[in-house]
Amino acid sequence: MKYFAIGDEDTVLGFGMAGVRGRAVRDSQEAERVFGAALEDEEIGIIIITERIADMIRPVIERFVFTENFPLIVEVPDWRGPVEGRPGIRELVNSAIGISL
Amino acid sequence: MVLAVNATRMELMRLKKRLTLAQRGHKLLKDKQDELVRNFLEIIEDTKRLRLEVDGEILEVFQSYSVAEGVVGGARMESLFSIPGAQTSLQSRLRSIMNVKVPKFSVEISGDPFDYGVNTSSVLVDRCVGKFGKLLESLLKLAELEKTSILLAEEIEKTRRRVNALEYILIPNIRDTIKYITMKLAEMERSNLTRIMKVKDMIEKKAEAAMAK
Repeated sequence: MKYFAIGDEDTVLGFGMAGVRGRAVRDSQEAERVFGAALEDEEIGIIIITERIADMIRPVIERFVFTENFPLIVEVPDWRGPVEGRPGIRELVNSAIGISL
Repeated sequence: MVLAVNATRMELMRLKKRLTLAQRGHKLLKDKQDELVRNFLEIIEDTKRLRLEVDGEILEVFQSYSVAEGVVGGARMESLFSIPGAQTSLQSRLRSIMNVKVPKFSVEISGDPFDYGVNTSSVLVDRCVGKFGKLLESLLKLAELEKTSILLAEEIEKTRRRVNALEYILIPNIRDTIKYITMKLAEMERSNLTRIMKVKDMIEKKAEAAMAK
């Protein structure tokens, strides 16, 4: 299985140096298409996606994360740093599953 | 609410057995839930810590990347890595936490990431490549932990539903039914007793009448 990176050009190129394939995307339609294609590919085990791109297609990602087990998705900040007001995993889980711990 | 059963002694015995079973199941599930929550909180803490680390790491990596790019030049940077030298591959296994299957990955990097010419690149590029390699491992862990916490949360929710169903519905229902059957049986016994007394009375009166004749 492999990593797959979705992000802006710099991020994808950077991860490419470490041997990770990826696609640079610019707008939400492109992001959605690439994300969908990445899900189809059974070789891909982990999708690395930058937060800014993930925000563009937030509903798609959220739906996927809480229904499917595979592949894994990890969001990373891009070179501009973390997006402000990002919910932690605990809040995410609380809102999605409706339990407060 | 009283379950729809016949008020018989057999049914009473069966219900009593069911009650002990339900109580045992309830206790077990409650223990499971507590343990799941404990695990969950631990993992949440780990995730938070790792998330902060990764955020820092990424910034650092991008800094070294932009420095390298500045020195070498964007176009050349792209040509250096247009054919990636390294191949990363993942092995996935399943690990079980309280019978919840969570993914566990191990990464394998094959090939040489530093397979570019010395005179077209710079030591800064080398450093940057190394850092990206390390970053991948942290990201892997982070993805694993985040997925684990989601899976655990789902399991906690499921267990909680079961615990509540037992605690607030099944066990009270069985209790009510047991009480209903006990009372019904006692009532039947009383009515039986009065009937016997009445019959005895009638027989005695008949006997007395026969004696008097």
